Amino acid sequence: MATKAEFLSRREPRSVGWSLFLTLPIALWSFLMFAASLRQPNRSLQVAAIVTSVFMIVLFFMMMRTKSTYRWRRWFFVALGLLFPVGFIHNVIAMRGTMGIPIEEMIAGRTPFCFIPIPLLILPAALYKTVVFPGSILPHGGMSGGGMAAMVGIWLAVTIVVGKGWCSYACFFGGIEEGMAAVPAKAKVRKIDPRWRYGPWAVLLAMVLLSLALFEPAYCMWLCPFKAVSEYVAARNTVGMVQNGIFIVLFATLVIALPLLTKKRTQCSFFCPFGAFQSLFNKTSVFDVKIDKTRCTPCVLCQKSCPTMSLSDESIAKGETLMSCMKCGACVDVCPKDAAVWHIRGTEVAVKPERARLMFLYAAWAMAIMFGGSIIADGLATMLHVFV
Amino acid sequence: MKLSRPKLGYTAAGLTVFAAALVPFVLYGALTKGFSHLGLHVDEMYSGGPTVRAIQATGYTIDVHRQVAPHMWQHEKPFVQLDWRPVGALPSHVSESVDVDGDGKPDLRVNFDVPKNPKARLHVNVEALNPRYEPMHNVTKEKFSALIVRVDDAILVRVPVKE
Amino acid sequence: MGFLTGVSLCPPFVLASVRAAEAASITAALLFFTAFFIGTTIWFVPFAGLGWVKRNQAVITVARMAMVLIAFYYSYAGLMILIGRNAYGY
Repeated sequence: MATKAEFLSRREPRSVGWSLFLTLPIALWSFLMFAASLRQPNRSLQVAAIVTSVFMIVLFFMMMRTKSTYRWRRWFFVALGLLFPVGFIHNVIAMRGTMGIPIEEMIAGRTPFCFIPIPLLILPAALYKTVVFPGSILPHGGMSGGGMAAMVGIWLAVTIVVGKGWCSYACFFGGIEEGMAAVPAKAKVRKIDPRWRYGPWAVLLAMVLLSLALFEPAYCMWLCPFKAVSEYVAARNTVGMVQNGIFIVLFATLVIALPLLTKKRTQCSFFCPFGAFQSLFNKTSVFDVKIDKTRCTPCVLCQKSCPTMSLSDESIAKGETLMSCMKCGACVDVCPKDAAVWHIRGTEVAVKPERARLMFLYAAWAMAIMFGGSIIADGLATMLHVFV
Repeated sequence: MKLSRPKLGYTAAGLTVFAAALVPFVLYGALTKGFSHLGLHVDEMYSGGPTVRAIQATGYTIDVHRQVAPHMWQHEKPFVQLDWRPVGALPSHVSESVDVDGDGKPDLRVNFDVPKNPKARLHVNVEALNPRYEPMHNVTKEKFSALIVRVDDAILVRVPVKE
Repeated sequence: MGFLTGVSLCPPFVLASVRAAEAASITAALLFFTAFFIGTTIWFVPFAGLGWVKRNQAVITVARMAMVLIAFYYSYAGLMILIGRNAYGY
């Protein structure tokens, strides 16, 4: 059986000329997205914008040249996961002097809104027309940023385009685990009970119910591990200290330790309620990944390489991925028989899969540059302003 | 003309790529505006509710907010928020009776110091002249329904209402 | 443990039993219990068609995991009541 390295070297690279030609629209898009930053008087932001733009264009070029997706996308995603906290924590400290959110900021509606509580807010909003989050619908100064409406707008827009691809091309937290999972050469823990895949749905159900009952964003208050790299409610009492202890433990286990041991995105696969919610949009997404049953052996390399365990024996036999597929491209890149392929809903499986991949990547990478790219540039600018 | 499934699929894919190009110019703005026009408001447990009256004092105003009631199983009591603004015009010690419900009779006697340091922790004592309200003794900011905080140019006091 | 689970009494049932025992006559007590039965049955009507859920392994697994998570919350809330603190200090 071919090893991954042998397989990758077997794939005929696309010519440099064609690769450049296919990269041209992305290069133009990238210039458009960063043009405003280039006009800023802030030198560090200008340099960061140029570096980020070139970075994204080069990665896309490599995706075109090598006809593989996963390892190039992963560079972007890890950079996003590492640089988001740099920019965000810097802003938070500059604005209010601490990562802890004081109650005054919550009352003033200046808590920045992240996308993760979106599913938790739906029921209270539908039943009581109330948003149970201490932010502002519209921009309100301080750390309120663009306001909740802006985050909901960007989330919905990107989700319409890429569905659960959000988790591979937009989420500014997932890159940390993806980076951790990439560090070891081999997984130390290989057998994972597949029932853990239902974890995100259980967390979603529990948190939706608790958020409605307690009229607060229950996941943010109690369980979100990413408070370790963004912000948290400043502890004013025992409850606050318990909550802060929980997120530190969850971050250390789900985001650092378990990805190192399993080479999987454990927080995303077994815990994140937002990921479960996004899975629903895979049902409406135009792009997906299929398995061509006529070519599949099955060697289950795809199953082993999937960072979110989105391929089971049953799903491979059916020729499809599970709902939790994040369209990261790992299975497609590793398949030695070209059986795992990018696909457009309604079309025949494995007929012109590269066309499907291109169309998906243009959409997804455009979103990645627009949203993730701006975050990467902001993080870079924060680091650069010390020197430039 | 009946479109075949593959043609429909490619059309949808093409439209999706087109939609991606529209996101920063049209789609994002439209969705943001749409959400902001849904008529939603932030939970009053955080925002304190709308202002219903303003009481004029010498050089400053006391804004009286509408009473906020907890929803569902919120672990907070109903409360009424009072804002003293602007902070710069307040004396170093505030001790005054406030008519919350506008019936001409004082309902609360509120006492707090106004430190020069804007980041200093505030403490408030509230005497309930109207038995509808709960007295507060040396309260700071542990609970959303009973606190004193400085937010921008105002000092906010939340007094719990007996259920 | 099994015995205790076996004799565990549903609190509304206990309340209804006490109320029925206080009734003036057997007929009144029976009528009361009938009304109690009908009144509580109405709450189960929305779930009448959901027996198929038991056959879906995914739903069962998610429900069990969610139950564990919510049990953590209730354990915490109960503990706070036991030690005499507010469940939410803010």
